[in-house]
Amino acid sequence: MGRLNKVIDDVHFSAFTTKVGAQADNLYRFASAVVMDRSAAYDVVQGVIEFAGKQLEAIGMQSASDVKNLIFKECWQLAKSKATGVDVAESLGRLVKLDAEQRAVLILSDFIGFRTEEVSDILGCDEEHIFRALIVARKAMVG
Amino acid sequence: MSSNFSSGALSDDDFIYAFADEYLGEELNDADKARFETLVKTQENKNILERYKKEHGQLQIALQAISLNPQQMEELWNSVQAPEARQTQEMQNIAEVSRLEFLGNIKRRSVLTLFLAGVIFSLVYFVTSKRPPKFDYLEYIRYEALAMDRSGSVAEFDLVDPSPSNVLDVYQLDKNLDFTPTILSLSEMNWVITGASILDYEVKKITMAQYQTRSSDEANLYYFSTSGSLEDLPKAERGQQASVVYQAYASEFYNIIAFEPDQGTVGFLVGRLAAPEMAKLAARGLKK
Repeated sequence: MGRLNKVIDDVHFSAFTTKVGAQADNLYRFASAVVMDRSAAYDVVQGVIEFAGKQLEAIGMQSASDVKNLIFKECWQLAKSKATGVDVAESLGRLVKLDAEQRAVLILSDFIGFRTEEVSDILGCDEEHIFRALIVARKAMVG
Repeated sequence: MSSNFSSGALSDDDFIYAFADEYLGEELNDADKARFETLVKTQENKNILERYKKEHGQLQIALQAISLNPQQMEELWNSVQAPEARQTQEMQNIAEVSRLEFLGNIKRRSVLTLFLAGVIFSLVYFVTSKRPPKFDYLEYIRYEALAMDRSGSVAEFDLVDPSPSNVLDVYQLDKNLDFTPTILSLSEMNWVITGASILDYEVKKITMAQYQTRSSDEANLYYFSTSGSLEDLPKAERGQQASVVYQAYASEFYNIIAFEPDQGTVGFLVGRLAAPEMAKLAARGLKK
């Protein structure tokens, strides 16, 4: 029975590392853009991985797309509270004139490839709001 | 992104930024496309699309430079695997070692003998065989693109007609190529060939073409093709655009997408555009 448990655990862990691991760098990029601080962004990613790890079995059974939405949602929840200090020396300094939500919309939509309804779900705003925020963010990006 | 929203309700300025991506991806309907093109031709918005592409590309490069190192990844996974799972795994490893011990000396000696034979064979092979040195595709490609950017142009071939088919014909005259040379026909997307060459490294030949866009003299694109496959390159995130499956890389100066335009051939499109944008160009322009 112990061996069977281990096999199940390994299966879940393998699914977990595949689905969550595939997004680890994107989570880090997203968190970095929102928080504008690499060290704090890493802490956010660690929080997301721990959050996902507590749901190992559930995540093993969900589709990769659902897992992606779930972990970015958690990432936003953790990152937005840390988005206070802005390090302008960051390579993402050009986004400094945006607020955290606008940076989040830009990165999720234009660089990670989420659809409007997914961004809306992750950030907990309506789609019209997301659409308007994206226009503002793209304008700021171009300068 | 914005297809669910009424484009008519947007100001001209907002319209451009709302639909820039769709326009570049040729996903706008005819009415919106006409409005977009009218707007970006006005004096006020003359360079807006070029600036959008440039800033988007630079941000893409900045983002790609942000990644977790192996130590951070290991640390993250270690925080997840349950202690009891780790303990079970360790116990199983110990049991496996004990089981191997139990199989006795004969088996161990057999394995040892085979191992020694393998080592001796490997040593003999290593000493006697002439293996080609490992070719670092990305390093050479980056170097060549940078060198060409700095020197201004590539004029190896005397191209009276710099059309893609003519360049391809010139490539095919070289009978020493060990792969099927390919070219991208990008004129419909406003990129024209301004130079082409065959680079002759000791271990590999590489065809290359330089493109410039008609709407700006700022940016160059470079297309390289040579023998190999994606498996020969460092692992990277994969994307797909139409039939083109690509791996994207970024450096301080360029984005690079690598794909397989033909069996046994690997192609590299190098420039400052975002990787998905270059993949769209590759998918639309591939010619063999």
